[in-house]
Amino acid sequence: MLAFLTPDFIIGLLSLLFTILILSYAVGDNPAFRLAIHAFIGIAAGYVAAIVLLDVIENKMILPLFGDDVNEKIFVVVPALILGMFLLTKTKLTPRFEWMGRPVVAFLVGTGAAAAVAGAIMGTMYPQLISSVDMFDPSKDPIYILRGLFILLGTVATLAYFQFTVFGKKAATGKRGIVFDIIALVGQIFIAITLGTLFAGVFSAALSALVDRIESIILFLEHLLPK
Amino acid sequence: MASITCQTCNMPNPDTLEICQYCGTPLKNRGTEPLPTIRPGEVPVKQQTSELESTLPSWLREMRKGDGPDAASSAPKASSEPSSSKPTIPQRKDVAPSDFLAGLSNLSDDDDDAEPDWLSNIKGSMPPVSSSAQPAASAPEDESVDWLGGLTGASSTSAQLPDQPVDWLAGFQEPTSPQTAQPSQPSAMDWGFDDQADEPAQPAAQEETPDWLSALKAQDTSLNTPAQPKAPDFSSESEPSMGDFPDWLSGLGGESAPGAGIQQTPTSSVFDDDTSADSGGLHDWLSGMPESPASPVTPTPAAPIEDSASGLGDFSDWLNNLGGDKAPEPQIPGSSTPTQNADVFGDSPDWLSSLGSDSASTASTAAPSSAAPVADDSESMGDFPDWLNNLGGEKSPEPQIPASPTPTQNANVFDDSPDWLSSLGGESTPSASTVAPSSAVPVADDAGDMGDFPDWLSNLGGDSTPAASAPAPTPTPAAPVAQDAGDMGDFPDWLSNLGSDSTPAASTPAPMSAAPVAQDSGDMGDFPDWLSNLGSEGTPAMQQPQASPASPVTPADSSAGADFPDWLSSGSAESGMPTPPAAEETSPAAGGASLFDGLMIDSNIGWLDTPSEEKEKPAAEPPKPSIPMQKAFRTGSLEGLSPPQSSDEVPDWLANLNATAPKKPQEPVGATDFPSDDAFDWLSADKGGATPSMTDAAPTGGFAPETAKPTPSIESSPSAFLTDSSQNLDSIFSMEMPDWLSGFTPSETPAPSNVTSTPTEQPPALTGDNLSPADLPSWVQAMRPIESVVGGTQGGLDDQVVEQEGPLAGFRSVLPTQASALGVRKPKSYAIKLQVDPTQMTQATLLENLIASEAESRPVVTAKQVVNIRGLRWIIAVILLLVTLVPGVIGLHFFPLPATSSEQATSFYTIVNNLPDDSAKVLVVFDYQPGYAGEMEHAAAPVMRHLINKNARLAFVSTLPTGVLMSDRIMDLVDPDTNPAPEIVEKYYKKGEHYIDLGYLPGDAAGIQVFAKNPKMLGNDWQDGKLWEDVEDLKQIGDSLANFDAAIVLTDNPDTGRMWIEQAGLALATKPMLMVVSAQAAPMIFPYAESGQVKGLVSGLVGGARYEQLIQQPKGRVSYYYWDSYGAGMIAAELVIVFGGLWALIQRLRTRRAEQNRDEDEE
Repeated sequence: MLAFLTPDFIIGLLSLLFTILILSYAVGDNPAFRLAIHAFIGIAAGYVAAIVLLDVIENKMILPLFGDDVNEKIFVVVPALILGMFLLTKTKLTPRFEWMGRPVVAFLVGTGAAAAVAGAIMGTMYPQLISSVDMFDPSKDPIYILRGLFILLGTVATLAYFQFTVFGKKAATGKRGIVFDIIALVGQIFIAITLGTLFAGVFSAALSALVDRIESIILFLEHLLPK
Repeated sequence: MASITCQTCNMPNPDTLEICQYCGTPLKNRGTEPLPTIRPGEVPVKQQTSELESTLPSWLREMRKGDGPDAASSAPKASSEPSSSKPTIPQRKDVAPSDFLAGLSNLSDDDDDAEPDWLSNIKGSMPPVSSSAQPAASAPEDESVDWLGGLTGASSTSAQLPDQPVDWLAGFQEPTSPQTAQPSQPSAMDWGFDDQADEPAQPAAQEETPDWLSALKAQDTSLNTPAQPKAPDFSSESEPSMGDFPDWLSGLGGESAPGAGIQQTPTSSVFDDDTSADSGGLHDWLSGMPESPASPVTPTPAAPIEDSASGLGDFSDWLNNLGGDKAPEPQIPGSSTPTQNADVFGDSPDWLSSLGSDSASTASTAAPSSAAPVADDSESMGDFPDWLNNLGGEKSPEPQIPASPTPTQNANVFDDSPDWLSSLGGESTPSASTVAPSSAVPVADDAGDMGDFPDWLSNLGGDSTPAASAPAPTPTPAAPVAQDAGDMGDFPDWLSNLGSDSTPAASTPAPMSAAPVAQDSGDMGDFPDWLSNLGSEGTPAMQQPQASPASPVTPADSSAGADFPDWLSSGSAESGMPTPPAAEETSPAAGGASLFDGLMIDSNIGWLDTPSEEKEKPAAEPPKPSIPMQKAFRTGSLEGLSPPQSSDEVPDWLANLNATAPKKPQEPVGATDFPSDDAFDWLSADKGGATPSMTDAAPTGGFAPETAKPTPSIESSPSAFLTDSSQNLDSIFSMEMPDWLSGFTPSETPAPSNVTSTPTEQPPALTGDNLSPADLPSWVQAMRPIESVVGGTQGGLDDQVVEQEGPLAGFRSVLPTQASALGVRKPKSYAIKLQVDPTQMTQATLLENLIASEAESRPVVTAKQVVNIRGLRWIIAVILLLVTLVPGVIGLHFFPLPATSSEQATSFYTIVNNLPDDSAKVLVVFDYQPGYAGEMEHAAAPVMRHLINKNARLAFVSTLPTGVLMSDRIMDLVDPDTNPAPEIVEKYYKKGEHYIDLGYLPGDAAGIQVFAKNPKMLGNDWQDGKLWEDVEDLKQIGDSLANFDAAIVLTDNPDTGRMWIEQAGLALATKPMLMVVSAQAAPMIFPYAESGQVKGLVSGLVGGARYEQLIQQPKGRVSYYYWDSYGAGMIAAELVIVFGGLWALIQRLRTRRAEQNRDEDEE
């Protein structure tokens, strides 16, 4: 009997158990599901904390203090350590000194926002704009142009759908014109297709996970079964 | 619209106006006369509630008028009685009270307890009943004010001349007789001294004297007569009329207030008799009046003071002081009245108060007992204007009188007085010094100073001169006046005349003042018309003594004079008091009652009964339209000034004037027998003139509203109105003379021009005084109080509003209204419609609709539960479980693997496949959650197996803390030892040898950016700091991400994949970035794959299956184990979606059909 109590068996058994507990949600919210959820959350939080302490605090802030690189200690590690200490003041334990962590948070938010904005402009907008323009390169296959037109139509129609400002004589009525309504309707179709695609991807991912769980159960059971 | 012509300016005014819009003259005669309004900054004058009589509700006034017929009936009696020389108290009892009092008497029968407060106040103000009239007659003499002594001097004369009913009125009797034929008294109201002009020619001396001055002279004759008690009557009547006087002039009359108070006691006694006999139902307070000692000898100081205060209620303060100074004088020494009067008149301007003080000083000379109060008053002389100081200065000589105990006081008084005033007063001084304590004598001395006076003032003194020169058998005032006439050349005419008139009355104890008046009349030719008219007004007064010899005021009459203003009544009382024989002469009781009745008849004042026939005459005379004419400004004060008959009330300066006239002949008589003659000479003369004027005015009704003022009349006994002098007052007040001068016009005509001190000899009123109000001297106009002018123009209409309800009901102009000031006008009309263009209108409508729609409540649409979600959920769960489990268990491989690979997967495979063998350095990013491990592991496993097969050096990094765990799982998956399908893994890969795990990369985008610029910053200290060193190929990575041959991002989150693309894409430069993403993130990453930013993309389980096919992996995990389950599950899901859609469509069709059937059934 004890031969089954191998780590793989225990892991397999626990995975089977938690899988069933999670799948119990199909019946409805139940304590088994909650138990599995709480277990996953707790384990993940513990694991994350362990990883952060080990990878960030110890390896990136403590160990460098004992390194040989003095410049790194003075200009990188020590300031980072001090600022990191200030972040501790943001906790509810020391509200009196909470203000000390504000500059650090501001620095982090500002830095992250700057990186995100710069990355979005240089990594998304400009490349995507160039790519969209290149689709209409006559040197390329006309299919690309058609794709480009299709993409353009989808983009314009989708943007037109979210256009609620009314101009011209129709402004008084608050209703868009027929042409604009048609474009908006096309955009609505594109939006529906996009959402359907996303749903299909989500369903595909979920179904893949289900299949993985089913296959894992099957494999576990196959290991239990005598060959 | 009808218009009313202003009688003053002859300008048409709409009939809606009550006051002339041009000159401010009241256009309409009101039933009630408003009390003087208190202006801002004005100190309110203490007033008694009786003064509010004019503002009483109509029902009260009607009650008072209820005895009108009785009064009228009693009038004949009174007229018949004057023949009797000796008035008796019972006769006075027969005199019916005035109408307003009669009304009260009616009330008293019914409701004694319910008497209103104001009546009780009035009652309380009544002096205690004096025991006898005779002793009272002596007392007023002592109390007589010097300046009033000129007037009261007539009383002394009356006392000496028992034949003459009222000494000071006697002078008027003779001239009045001819004047009675003429409606002189009504004419007085007109200001129309024209009537006087029509009077028979008078002696030359009298022609120059104005009528009113001649009347003053006539009064002088009556000073010593027992008719002095009538003075109260005169004063009492004057009080109501005083309401029309301007305040500043009313103050002049106020000077006599104390005198009136003294006289009230006798009047009260008389009234008592009347009430007991005729009106037994009089009100308590009225019935109580007879109980009070009627004798003027024992005047209660309190009552006179109250009367004076009440009578002066309409006066302005500074004018009140004028009379107030003298108020104490006539009172018996030791009485507290002086101080009280001082309080009453405390508001008077100094110069006027000093004016009163002058009279007080003169009174002190006549009556040493009154010296004390006089002294106080005399100090105020310093503030007198020059011309008035001069008037008082005439009395400065009085202190020189050896008999006068107060020479120094007078001296002080006149020190400050201006020259001309001092000279004026000085006229009386010599009279007092030479002749007697009476101050009237010294007028002659002052004559030298008169040269500075204006003509009209000098004429005033000049009038006295002839009077003085006139050798009267009795010391009539005419004699001293004659002397003064020569000396008073500097005086203004009117003053000189005035002095002449008053002087005999005050100085001479001669009973008859008519004689001096006659002379004065001759001098009054220099008087201005208006002044002469003043004298002419007194003509009726003179008629009274003629018609009724009983008119000479007896003690009883003096008691009747309680209705007079205090200052007048006091003067008359004093004059009458010392002359008990005068009562015998003039039939005081009967005469007083008759006079009272006559007054009631003549004046049409219901509360007056004029018993004398003389008063009936004016009553019979057609009322002149001038009487109802409203005065341009109220001159009640002057009216109050005119009536003073008592010597007590005569101002010193006037008394001195009078003293000059009787100085020579009357000195021995007046000085010895009647010390009170010094006081109020001129006022006594005024009384004589004013009294008839009042009575004459009565029929015209011009003063009906004024007489309606019950305030003074109530306080004073009604018997006071029985005197002839009161009738004359009515005639005076009925005149249209300027209000401010009405007070100076007690005597309509100097009828008593009797130089011989016989009233019959007195010439009629002065003639030729036809000045219109417009002829007023400029300086007089300048003296007109602004209030009277402004008040009539500015807020005249507003102030006349009568309160209709509330506690102030019946009061007029109590609450000022500012409606007119606000300028009510029609509001400007503005267009309501806004000018809005269609666009704005449309937008406004749209906004309105939006707001309205938001306000509308929408029915809550509850989602109809089509199916049982739990059952459906169970069905779907079971389906999915079955479709995934069964293919996995069975392993049929029913669903074929995707035959064609996608372009992105192919590109991915190509790039990896093109990596250099055994030396490729590939960065693998594990950024997917454990939850998606089942998909991502099976999608990334073929890629990782491909890399392993390529023997690439791998560096693992993750922006998720769980990334390290995922990397470990994937490496275990490909580990042949741990892999359940070891056959898939071609070779083993070990950490630190084939790959390194850089661990967790914090900072998200920023961390990725930093890591992209310096990959080695991460992982140097990790695991002993030899990560990079452990892998030989990775040592060359350096500080650039581009040193990696490829970067593969494994993520289930499109944002994480985009972040790596944005932050590390540029750092990779030409090195390819490949992505293995979850099926849910593939649509979001696909554009980057299309744009070339991501060179290869493997998405989901399908991508893994395809990649397995690309690497030609046999029995791939995905394609071998998972694909059927995945395929079955996808088909099941699609079928569920399709069947679910069909079910929903069917349900909708059924619902619609059911609705149609229901609608059809309903139809």
